[in-house]
Amino acid sequence: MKKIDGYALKRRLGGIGIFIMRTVFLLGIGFYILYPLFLKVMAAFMSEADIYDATVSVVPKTITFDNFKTVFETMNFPAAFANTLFLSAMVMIFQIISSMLVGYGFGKFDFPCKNLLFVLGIFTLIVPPQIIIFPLYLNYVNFDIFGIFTAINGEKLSFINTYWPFVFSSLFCTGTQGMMFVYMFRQYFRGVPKEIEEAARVDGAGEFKTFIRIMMPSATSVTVCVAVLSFVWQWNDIFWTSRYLRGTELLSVNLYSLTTDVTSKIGASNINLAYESILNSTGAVMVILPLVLAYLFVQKGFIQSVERSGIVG
Amino acid sequence: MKKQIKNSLTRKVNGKRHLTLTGRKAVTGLKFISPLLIGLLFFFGVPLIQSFIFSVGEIKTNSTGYTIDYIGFANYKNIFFKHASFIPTFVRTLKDVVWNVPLILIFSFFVSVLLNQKFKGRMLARALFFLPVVINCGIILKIENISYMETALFHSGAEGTAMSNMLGGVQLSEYLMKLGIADSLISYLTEALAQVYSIINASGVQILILIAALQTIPESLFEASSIEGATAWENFWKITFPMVSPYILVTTVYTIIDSFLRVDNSQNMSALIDTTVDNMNYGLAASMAWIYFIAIGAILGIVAFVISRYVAYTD
Repeated sequence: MKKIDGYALKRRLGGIGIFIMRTVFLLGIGFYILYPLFLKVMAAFMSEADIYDATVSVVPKTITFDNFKTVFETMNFPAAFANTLFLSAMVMIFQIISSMLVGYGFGKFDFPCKNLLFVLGIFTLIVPPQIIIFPLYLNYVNFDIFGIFTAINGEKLSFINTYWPFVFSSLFCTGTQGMMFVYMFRQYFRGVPKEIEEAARVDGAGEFKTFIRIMMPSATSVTVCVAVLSFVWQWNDIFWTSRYLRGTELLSVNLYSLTTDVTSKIGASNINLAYESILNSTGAVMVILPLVLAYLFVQKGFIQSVERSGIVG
Repeated sequence: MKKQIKNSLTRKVNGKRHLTLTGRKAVTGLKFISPLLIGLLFFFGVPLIQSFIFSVGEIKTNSTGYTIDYIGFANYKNIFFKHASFIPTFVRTLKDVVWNVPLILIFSFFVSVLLNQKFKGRMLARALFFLPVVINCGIILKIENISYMETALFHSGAEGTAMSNMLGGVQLSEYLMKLGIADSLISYLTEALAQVYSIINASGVQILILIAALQTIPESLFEASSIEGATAWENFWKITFPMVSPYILVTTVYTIIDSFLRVDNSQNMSALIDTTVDNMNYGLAASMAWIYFIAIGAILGIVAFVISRYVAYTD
């Protein structure tokens, strides 16, 4: 007669128990994460009447595309989309280049004050951007390196409403979380064995050539991670864009001023809190949608890159 | 005992100074980090100093630039003794941070351990948890707080940010009231629910870091310990936790910085400083930002110091 193995049964039950717990937990958290997004999407299709309808709590009774039309026109979506795409892509590329260079320098070389410089860099992460935003803004409004421009043009250059501030911040590792990317690359390059470098040396490659031919191609996983994060953060950025690019058509800036724009279009009497929330939700959905789509494509590589990159060594 | 011979960067040959190999490598290293040097100097250092100068003065902007009246530390005195909302907001922010940071860390750690195990749908779960990182930042976060969607939909009369009315927090409180539970407990629970949401939102990057950290632990350690007869609990505290501890330090530092600088709460310090800037009171705003910064730096320093004494370094 077959004896029921108590141990195996216990393990089986324990396994099922863990499975249930884990699934419940993940479903619960997943709900928390997806619910706001879901609500926004539902709200985007709602007509104003649905908000006042007591029987409607999440799914709209009347599906309307009017909100999308309004937001599309008010936000000047095509232009804003193109500009945001350009800006985010440019910032992403520049940040990848600069953080890779700097991370490699910190990871593979020794020079005086190396640790001090690195700590100073991390310092930029700690300092609240509100401290430097105003002086930076002033510097950009009256941009003048050592009086060269005044000498040539007779007046100072203003970089406000151009992309130059972002070029500078991404190219010189001073953007939002710029040093975090440097840190990632540094950790990665620290883990690359010295033998590879030495082999390249023996084969006659100089320092820069080693970097371009060998180090850069091997760092794809970290690069993917940095690319995703910098692109997304720039796409959604409102802090810097609202100050440097206020007059430019950008998705984040236009979304921020969406309700005021619509109010000025249709008159203050036609707008109320409920309609504002519908507009905001629609706008948010339209702004995030490209990101979500891109994320769906990229997420596999992105998450695997975390595993393989040795971000943390 | 081998004595460390210090590699010098230059060498004197026939009366002329030449760079040694170490020296040349150092120069190359500096060339590689030159972007950071330029950035630190011009786009960070200079504005930082300027901002301090602003904080001890009163700024008036005109068409060609600005003028500063130096008023010493009057701005700072103003903040501490006269300004109506700085101290309360500051204390509230501090409380929020002190409350949230440990919760975020515990949550992220728990989730990363969970996501590190092999189970079906793991990729999906990971994608799910990283989604807030991609979506909830910048403008979207700001919109969240000025959107009254949930309030409107659930016909709640209560005020508050969108988060506190989130997800049947309203229905839940009505239900609990029907059950006859005390009011204070109800409000505590609904607050906790709202907090859960912001904790989940703030945990994305931390989960990323901790998963990567967990994967640095070699599987052989666990195998060896289970041969020795260790239970899962012992495994966790004797192997997982110490090996991950350096990254817990990194994560803690990041979490503290992040929670101070998030634009989550509309009553947060960032909003306060922003409104001061919008009111064209730049000197005051600068001094607020400096105080804020010094506070963050102090807290960070203390926390980092305390934690690093418990970190087990294996290399």
